[in-house]
Amino acid sequence: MRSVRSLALESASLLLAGCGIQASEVVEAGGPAVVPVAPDQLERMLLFFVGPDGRPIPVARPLDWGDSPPPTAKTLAALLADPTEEERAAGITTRLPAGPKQVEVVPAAREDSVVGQEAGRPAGAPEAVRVTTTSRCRSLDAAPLRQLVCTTAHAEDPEGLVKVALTGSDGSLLAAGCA
Amino acid sequence: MLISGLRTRLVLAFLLVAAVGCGTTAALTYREARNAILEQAQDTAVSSFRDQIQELHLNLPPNNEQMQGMVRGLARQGKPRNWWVYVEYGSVRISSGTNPTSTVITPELRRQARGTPHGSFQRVVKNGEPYLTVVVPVVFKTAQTGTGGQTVRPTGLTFYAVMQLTDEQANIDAMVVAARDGALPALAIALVPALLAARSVLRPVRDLRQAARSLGRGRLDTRIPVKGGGELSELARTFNESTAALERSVDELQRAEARARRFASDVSHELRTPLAGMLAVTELLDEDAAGLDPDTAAAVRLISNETGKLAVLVEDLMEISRFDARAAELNTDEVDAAETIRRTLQSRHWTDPAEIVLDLPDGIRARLDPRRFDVVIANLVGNALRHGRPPVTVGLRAESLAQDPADGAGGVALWLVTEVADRGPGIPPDVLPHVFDRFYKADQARTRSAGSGLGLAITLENVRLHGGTVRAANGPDGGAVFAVEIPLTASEVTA
Amino acid sequence: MPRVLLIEDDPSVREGVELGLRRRGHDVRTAATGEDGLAALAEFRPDLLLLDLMLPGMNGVQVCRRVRESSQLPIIMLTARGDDFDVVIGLEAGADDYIVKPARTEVIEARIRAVLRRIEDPGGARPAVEFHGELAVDRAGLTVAKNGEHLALAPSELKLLLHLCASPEQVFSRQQLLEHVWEHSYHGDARLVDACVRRLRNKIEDIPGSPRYIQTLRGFGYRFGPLC
Repeated sequence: MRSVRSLALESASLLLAGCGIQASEVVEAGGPAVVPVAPDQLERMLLFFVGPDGRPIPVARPLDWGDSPPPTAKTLAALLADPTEEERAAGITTRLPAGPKQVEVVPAAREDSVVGQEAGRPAGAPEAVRVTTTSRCRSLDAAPLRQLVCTTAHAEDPEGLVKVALTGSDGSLLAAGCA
Repeated sequence: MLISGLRTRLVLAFLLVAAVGCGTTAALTYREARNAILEQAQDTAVSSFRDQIQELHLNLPPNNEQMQGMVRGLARQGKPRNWWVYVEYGSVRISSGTNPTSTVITPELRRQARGTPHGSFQRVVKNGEPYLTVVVPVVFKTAQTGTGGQTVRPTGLTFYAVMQLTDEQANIDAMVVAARDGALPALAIALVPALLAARSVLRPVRDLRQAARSLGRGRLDTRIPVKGGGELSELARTFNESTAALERSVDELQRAEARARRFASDVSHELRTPLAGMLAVTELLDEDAAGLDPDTAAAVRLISNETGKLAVLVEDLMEISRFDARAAELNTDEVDAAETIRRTLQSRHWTDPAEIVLDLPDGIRARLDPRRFDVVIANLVGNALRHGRPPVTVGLRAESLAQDPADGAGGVALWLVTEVADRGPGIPPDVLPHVFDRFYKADQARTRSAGSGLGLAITLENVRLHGGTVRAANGPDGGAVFAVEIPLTASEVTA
Repeated sequence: MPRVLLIEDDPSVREGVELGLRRRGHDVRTAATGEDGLAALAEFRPDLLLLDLMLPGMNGVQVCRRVRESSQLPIIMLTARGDDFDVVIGLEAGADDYIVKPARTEVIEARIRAVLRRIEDPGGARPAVEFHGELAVDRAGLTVAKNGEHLALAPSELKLLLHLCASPEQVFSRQQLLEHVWEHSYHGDARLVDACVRRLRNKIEDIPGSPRYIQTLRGFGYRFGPLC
């Protein structure tokens, strides 16, 4: 009799608790929305600034009509210049230090050797783009570094998969990719 | 609460099991169905929201007008039903409604949207209303369109959709109502098989009860039909075995008793013939004893006396044997009860008014066996004279007595009541229940009295043969009172 | 003194009763079987037959019937109580009275005397022969004729008829008849009366089923007449 009673209680509570629609946890459902961005890759300059929450926000600036993709140094120069008025209105900022900077880019294709740490890599592996800037870089935060690395990677490679080795006024950094 | 009655308990147990079964099934089905309804709604909402977003083209950064247009367009296309659409980009917040941000969207959902490049949803209940909140972050391919590049980067744009789940709520509510409306009649219908099952379970119990009652009425050949296996038929089988054993032992007892009675009867029969010869010559002995020498004379007289007593005893034994064998016949005649009693007393010379006081109203006619009624009165009066003290009162009356309900007739009937009372010391209480027993000796050391020891037993049997009763009691002023009640019919009183 | 023929198979009873009766002055002859008894009947010519009902071979009832075929000899049956059925059959066969064994000689003798006793003449100026309907009753000669034809009545039947017709239309209870005709106690066996009435009706009534002479008053007894 006891077990029958408890069974009845259980089923009753099950029935009552399960009534209606309950709040739920956050549930992942499928991937993100993939959207085409205008202008297309060949007609834009992709710069990575920082949103109000500290996360990178890409900005696609159109090239002038007929221009071919600019050299990476020019793209980096645009990055080092501050966001435009319109971009700032949307809350986009840069974390890179202010002031005039010089940037020199040595593309990976022309480099014969990499830094010592990369010596053990198998031959034929992609090599890092070397970027030398007059500003400091070792003391930079992750956000400005990501700005530099991602912008450089996407300028060098449409897929943005190349590694970038930064050298600043205060020393060099290990080659890193845009994650 | 004490639920008595096997039937009630069986029905309740059956209904409880049915209710638990119904309820559990309903609850599980309901849960599954509800989850299916919600999943369907959620998946449809997330995927259609994502599909619609993927129709868009973006500038980076998009300007406010562009975003406004996108939000409105998405809100318009709201399928399968209306939703509010929110977009967040950098510090820009734009919505299809009046508020730029939703109060329903939880911080967890925002965190989730920022943390992973996945669409997500969350059900939120706010103010009792269920909502589905969906977030879809927007990414773009970095390679040129159509080149099949794989790398995607977040655009920083996040779309939110909020929709009310009122239709789903209504569907689920309808399901609960349907489950309830289905379960209650189902329970009511379950009552029918419950009652039938209880009936079929209880039928053997009822059979058993009837059999036990029948057994109690003395029908020892009662048996229960044993059907199939199971506990109840085991019980029936045990009952049958016990009854058979009981019947056997009762049979044996009855046979033994019958043997004993037949033996008594046979012995009396066998004694009777030699006694007939002896009794015929006792007079001869008595007459000639005077001429013998004194010792021989005493011996001869002793034999004569004891032969007479022995004849009485054997006669009484024969009479009792006939009652036991139910061979006693009632030869009734319609007589005047008072006259019958008077004649009984006269024939035994019990006429001394100092000894016998009569209260015998004339005119009560009764259907009696005169010989047996004579025996009854003679035994009672003789007993009173022997054991009580005179005067012995003999009273007679017709009386309305409630009939013994065991007779079946019930109601009130006229009875002939004859009372014989003496002025003696009465009957000791421990003897009272045994006065009608055969050969009962109140005092174990008592010497043999004039009676055979069967007088009152024969009296009882004679009264019973008339359909009456005889009772022994002690009167209010001491002395034993024997009351004989014999049924009369009203027409027999003609006073 | 009356001559008594005793038919009884048990030697001790036979001898005891014979001794007792002989002591009282009766002339007693005994027989052990019915056949012997019937044979002794013609030769001994008794005044009364004492007949045990339980006899080997020819039983008492058969003997009784055989005797009644030719004779109105008074017959007293000897029975044991409990043989009630036999008593009724014996009475129907024509016995006048019965005695239950065991019985003292004085009881047996009283019965013998009662059966043999003549109905005392009421005396007075009655005619020798009374006529009641078709019946002619001769109280002095102790004969009854119907339509001039002599009726063979057993002693108990004759005595009952004489007693009843002495007081026509008077009701006698069975107890009264037992006392006066059979000289039994008030509480005697009323079946004696009933059996005798049946036998008598068979002899005197035109239709025994609806009697004229001996009428039954239910619950009270019998009466003679009224004849109309």
